[in-house]
Amino acid sequence: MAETATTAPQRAATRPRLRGGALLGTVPFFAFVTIFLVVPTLTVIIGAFTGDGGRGFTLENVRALGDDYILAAFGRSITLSASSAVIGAILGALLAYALVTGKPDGLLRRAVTAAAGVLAQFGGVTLAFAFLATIGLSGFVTQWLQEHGLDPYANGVWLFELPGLTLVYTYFQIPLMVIVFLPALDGIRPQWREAATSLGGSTWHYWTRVAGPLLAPAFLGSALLLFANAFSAYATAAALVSQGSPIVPLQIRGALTSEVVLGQANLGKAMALGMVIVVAVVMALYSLLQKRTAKWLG
Amino acid sequence: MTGVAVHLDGLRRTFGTVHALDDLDLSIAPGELIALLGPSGCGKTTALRILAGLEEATAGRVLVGGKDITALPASKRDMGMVFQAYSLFPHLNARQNVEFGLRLRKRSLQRAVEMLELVGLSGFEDRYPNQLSGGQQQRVALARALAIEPQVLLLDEPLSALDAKVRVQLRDEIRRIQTEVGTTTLFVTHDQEEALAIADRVGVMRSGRLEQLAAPAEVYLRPATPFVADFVGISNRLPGTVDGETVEVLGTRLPLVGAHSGGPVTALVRPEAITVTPDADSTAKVVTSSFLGSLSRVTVTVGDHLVVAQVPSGDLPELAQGAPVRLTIAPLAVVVE
Amino acid sequence: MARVAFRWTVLTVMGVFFLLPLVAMAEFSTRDPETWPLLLDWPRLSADYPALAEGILASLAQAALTTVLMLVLLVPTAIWVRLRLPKVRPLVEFLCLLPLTIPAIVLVVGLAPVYAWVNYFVGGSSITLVFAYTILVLPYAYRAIDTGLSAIDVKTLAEAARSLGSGWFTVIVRVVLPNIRSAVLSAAFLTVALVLGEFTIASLLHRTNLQVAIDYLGKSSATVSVAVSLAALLFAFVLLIVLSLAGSVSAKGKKS
Repeated sequence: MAETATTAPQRAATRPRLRGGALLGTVPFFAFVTIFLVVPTLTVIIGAFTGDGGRGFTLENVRALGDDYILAAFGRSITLSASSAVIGAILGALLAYALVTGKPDGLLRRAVTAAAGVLAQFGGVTLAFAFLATIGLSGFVTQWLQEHGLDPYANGVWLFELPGLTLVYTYFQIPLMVIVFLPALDGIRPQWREAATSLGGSTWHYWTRVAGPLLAPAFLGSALLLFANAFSAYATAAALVSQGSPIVPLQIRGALTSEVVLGQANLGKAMALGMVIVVAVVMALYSLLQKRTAKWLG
Repeated sequence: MTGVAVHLDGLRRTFGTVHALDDLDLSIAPGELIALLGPSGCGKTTALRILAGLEEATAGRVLVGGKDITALPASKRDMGMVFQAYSLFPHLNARQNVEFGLRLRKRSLQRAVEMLELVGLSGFEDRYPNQLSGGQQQRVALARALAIEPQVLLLDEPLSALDAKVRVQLRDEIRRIQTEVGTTTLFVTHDQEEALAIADRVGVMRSGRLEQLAAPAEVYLRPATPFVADFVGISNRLPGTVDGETVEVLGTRLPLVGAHSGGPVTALVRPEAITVTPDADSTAKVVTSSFLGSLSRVTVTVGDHLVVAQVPSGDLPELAQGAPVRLTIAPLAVVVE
Repeated sequence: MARVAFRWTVLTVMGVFFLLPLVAMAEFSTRDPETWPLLLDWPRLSADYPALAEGILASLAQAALTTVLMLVLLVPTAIWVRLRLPKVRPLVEFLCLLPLTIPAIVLVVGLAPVYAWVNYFVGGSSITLVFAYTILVLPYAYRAIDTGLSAIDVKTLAEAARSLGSGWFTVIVRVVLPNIRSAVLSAAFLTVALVLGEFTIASLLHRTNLQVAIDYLGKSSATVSVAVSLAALLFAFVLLIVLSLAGSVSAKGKKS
């Protein structure tokens, strides 16, 4: 066999030598990033293991993460993130599929992807007010429903609790899913369906044996990204929820703004560290699945 | 296993006002390999895809082994198909790719190993498509298509994404395997050399129609139309005058392919039909000569015309630039327009 | 046909879900007919709602300065690292993408002590948020610029320019930069959009911007804050659609 698998293009043997002068060019960047990114990150990590007031190493803060109310907050955060990620991933994938079945360069597709780009970044206070205007107590939809004898809040106001937050988060999760999942769908080659068909496979066979397994890592990875996205979100919840601190970001706000309470400041750092760990684990899994996707559908 | 006969009967395919296929009739004998050759957009791929069931014909019938399968869905047709590239399922290794059709048919998976052996890929069973070269991927695709013991093998430009050297090697191997298994085969390509080398018969297509369907030598030596003469091989376009069943070109009378009403025409003459000899009295002169191996090519001016001729490389020293030469045309039949 | 039906069902349902809040905001903000005219009347707005006016101005200034700081820090570094320091590139990439795994709320926790020093040296103005925002937009801006740089052969371009006698400054400013214009533009637009939507850091570092003002206003005058929200959202829409058009225009330019 004369053929060989393609090898990476030959690298030129001579690499530019590392000179002090060349490194100088990157000093402003590294200096800035050190002060405003590395130092804060280390502050959180070190602070999580430091006793209040004192300088000694302690596991008190991390141990305090085991407190019932903090565990419950993490539980609620994870529930909220997971449910909004699952709903967002499924609906977003359906929308993305609806887009790829149309013309690849069509106006509809371009309009929807552009809108998704905006809405995926649409969070925070603006989003909270959008939903207050929609299904708040005097919102557009609420009033319309009430005029027709239906009261969405007959069993209590759920907008400011987890179900409400899930609904509001879905509003930026679906567009994000469209953006991250669309490239994977585009990577599906028409030849695969045709090959499967000519080999005797039905549509069912194609989806269960070819497209399904191929898209699974991309779907799972995208859902993880959505999870991290919801888990990190703060502003929308902060604007919507004024009483209590059901989720971790709001607990951290409490710890930050009530520094008078002894032993709270570094507990906040411990919770922050907890968040970073959750997000980092999720993002690591995401990039693992993303690599698999790039190999198959790149 | 012996092949089945395939008939395409008055196939038509229109997109709006464009005829991708214009009443195409084509019969493939059992076990025969026919190459459809033509420029892009000539309808060759459309014909293949209609035979595969991946596209629907606007009108006409497809018969395989005497049965009308025009309405049969692609998944029920038993056609082995090899695409231009990237058709292997990337999440399955070579063996699993070949097993795909066997599993759907609940047949013995042992055949997958045998098929990979047939295409010369023993030992590569566990490689994934991205760990295989382009040529190896196409071998797997061929094994996958043949594993299901298809009634017809369809090859849609299977070599055009490969390097020149691999292309020739795999071309010969496809021919060997096809002869060995005896499956009726339709091979679509835009590469005339490939078509002539591999096929029992070559069908040259243009604008949805067959211009000529004949054995490779016939297509090359006796092109039926100026289009075929132009598309297959290279031709000199020389002025001539038709007189009855002959045409006079540069003072030589040549037999004519087909009939022509007479008068001034353009004749298409192959470079290898022209012999170049040094002649100090001639007004024709060598313009350039290029060395191509055992044979070489010289360009000669005759009056206002440039004539390309093929000569043995040994003659080159006598045919330097500016040398006066005489041209002789072999009395082979030519096509005129 | 089933596929077409599926397609339009999905698109219609999603369309309603996504348009409804926008329609509701439009309806809600026009319940008081005075609201929109007020928004367009800057002197009255700043007289009646000084906090909102201050927030709008702060956000605009933050957006502009963050864009400048981001470009100054990132573009030369990204080019330089590709040209001269390929070994340093993974580190730069890691640092640029790091903020993705650090939620803004966590960054605030770590930034609080840093900003104690910022307050000490340059004061507590809202403009100082530019430092934090530059970190926040780093992943998005870096990816945009890196994609632009990957699309061209920076090394060959630089070698060609240097063989013609240009210095490094000319290489970066006159040769590489013009070729990644659309990537730089896209990074700038993303920066503006992100900064205009930022709430977490501003609110918790006790500074003001548009989102903080809207949140504050929501407690007293919901109609105005919904109207401003809608206006901000529409502005972001226009911005990003211009961006996507600019992107597709330059993509077309490359094809030909």
